Amino acid sequence: MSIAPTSPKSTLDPELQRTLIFVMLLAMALVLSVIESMLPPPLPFPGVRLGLTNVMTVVTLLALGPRSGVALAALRSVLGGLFVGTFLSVGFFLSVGGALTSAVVMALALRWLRPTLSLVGVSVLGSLTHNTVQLGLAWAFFVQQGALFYYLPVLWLLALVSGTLTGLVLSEVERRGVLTTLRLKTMLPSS
Amino acid sequence: MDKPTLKRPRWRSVLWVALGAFVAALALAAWLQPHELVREQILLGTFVQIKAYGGDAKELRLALDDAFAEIRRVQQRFSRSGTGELGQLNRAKPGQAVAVSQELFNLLDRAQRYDQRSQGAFDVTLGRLENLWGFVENWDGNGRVPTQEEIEAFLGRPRGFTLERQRLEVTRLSDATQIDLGGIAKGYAVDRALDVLRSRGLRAALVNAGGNVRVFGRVPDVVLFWDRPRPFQVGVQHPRQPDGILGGLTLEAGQAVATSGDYQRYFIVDGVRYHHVLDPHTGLPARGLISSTVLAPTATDADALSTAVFVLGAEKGLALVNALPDVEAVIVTQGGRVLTSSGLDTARFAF
Amino acid sequence: MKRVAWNHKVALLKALLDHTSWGDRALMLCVLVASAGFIPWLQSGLPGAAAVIHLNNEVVATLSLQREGEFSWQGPLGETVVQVKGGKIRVVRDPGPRQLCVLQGWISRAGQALVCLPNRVLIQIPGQPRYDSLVR
Repeated sequence: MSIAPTSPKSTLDPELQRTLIFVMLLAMALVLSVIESMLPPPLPFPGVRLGLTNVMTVVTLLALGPRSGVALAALRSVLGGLFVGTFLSVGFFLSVGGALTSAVVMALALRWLRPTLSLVGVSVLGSLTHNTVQLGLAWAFFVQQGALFYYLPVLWLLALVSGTLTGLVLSEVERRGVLTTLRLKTMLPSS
Repeated sequence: MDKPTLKRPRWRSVLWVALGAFVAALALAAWLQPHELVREQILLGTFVQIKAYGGDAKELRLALDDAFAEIRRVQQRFSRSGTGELGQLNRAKPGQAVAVSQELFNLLDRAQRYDQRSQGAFDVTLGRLENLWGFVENWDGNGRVPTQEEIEAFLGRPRGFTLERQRLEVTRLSDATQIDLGGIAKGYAVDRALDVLRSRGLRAALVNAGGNVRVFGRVPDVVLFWDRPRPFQVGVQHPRQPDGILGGLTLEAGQAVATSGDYQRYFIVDGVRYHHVLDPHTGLPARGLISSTVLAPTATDADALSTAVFVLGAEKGLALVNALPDVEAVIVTQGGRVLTSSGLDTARFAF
Repeated sequence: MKRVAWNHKVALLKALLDHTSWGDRALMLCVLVASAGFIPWLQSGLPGAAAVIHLNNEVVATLSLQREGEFSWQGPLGETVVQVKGGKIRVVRDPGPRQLCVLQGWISRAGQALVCLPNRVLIQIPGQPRYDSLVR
């Protein structure tokens, strides 16, 4: 299935178009969050989940630009916390911090590291920062025991796997032109 | 047709508002943080430390002032040779009924019951014997080994006191009876101090008087607005390693712990260690254990029982503890073995 | 059957190579190496004194490593059995499908942990505990 690019001339105001697309992506991200929360956590650690929702952050970064991407990450983690029921819990703070930092890192990577790293690499980088920041926050605010860092290797390997998977999904999505369509609709120059 | 410019004022103001809200939230969280106050003083012949947690810094200071004042009051009243009530009782003529306060009466009553329950191991009438050994009230670190005759002379004389409940009177049976509440007074002081702190509406507090510890509440552990109070963690010193820990305890809900050991007050003569926990039957320092740690519902109980268990030794001591509900113990024998009572909850006590 | 499985693995590898750049692969290699390198560094802690057992993220026991014995807890999948001997601790039996925590063997140093994820059991040797007060 391929989505043929439509005419760049759109009857809707581009700003409104952007908002609509943003909201759509946010909704999809929230659905992913809820689904992800139903899966068993890979580690007996509050807030640690498979990093699947990173997909939507990257899509937003690519389609709507860095600021929208970071905003999406912030909104989806906060609202996601409300939906899933972890609002203001330990896991909530960890995942908000992780999501935000990884969105920023991925935005920077998309801007500066692009030909060297493909979408897979950016995705992996995002997952890595997400997990590492979560662990760092857990240490700084909650446990303060070096024993936490025992989990780093496992977390990193997990990030590697989930980042690669989401990256592969993303590169497939890009190959089929979905992102180009979105960029055309929002008049954003292709990056 | 040229590309329309994309203006994004919305994002900028949203970000500024978000940043402002975040900073405001942090400030609010910092303002709502509970305060911690720690104070130490030398009292009761030992190091007394109080840690308290509460919402109001001033309230905390006043509460601690009152708690320490209460400990000083207990020290003064129950000093065996001072000018307080007990000192006066000890100087009164034997055989004469002396009217005492309800507080002293209750404490003596409790002491007598511990005496009976421990088959005489917990004995508060050893004042003269302690003096013989040099373990006077304000101990200076020195001691002497009494002669066999002196000890036998002491053991030979009748000792004890009677209590008359209606008129709150105490009668010492003989001149040899010098009441020393040292094995229970620290615990009692801790209980009293804790009552004072509890009545002030504080969130949590810990009182440690020379190894008698009691707590109430849980230590607040706050991150922003999220508070995960945790129970107090108390470490028990290793009997032979001054910086080592024998084990850790998690104290909750008003629990108390006290330790008696041969390393707290002792002197060495000819390579032999003589410590201050005397066996009322032999007149000599109790042998068999080098430390006994007791967990009990109140600090008074814990203090008295830790002495009793120490004197009773491993077998009888643990039998006594196992027979008492809500009381647990950890003892270390002369041989270095660590034994525990049967009901010790391993989820919270690691030895 | 075996050939089908092998084909799947080859296909996966091909997909990986097709979609990744050399930078990606370098990054992934770095992560693998760093993870592997981290593990011995974490093992060089001080000998631990006690092991804290968590079940479903709650502390259910604190075991002294000096007292030998076997202990067990009931998790959602079944019984996890641990053994303490000679200052070390290990998982003897666990109902998890991959037996990762059993295969890990003995641990004894502060900072080490055994994680039996499926049965929600975590055995950790904590670092220096911080006490609120000391009983002397």
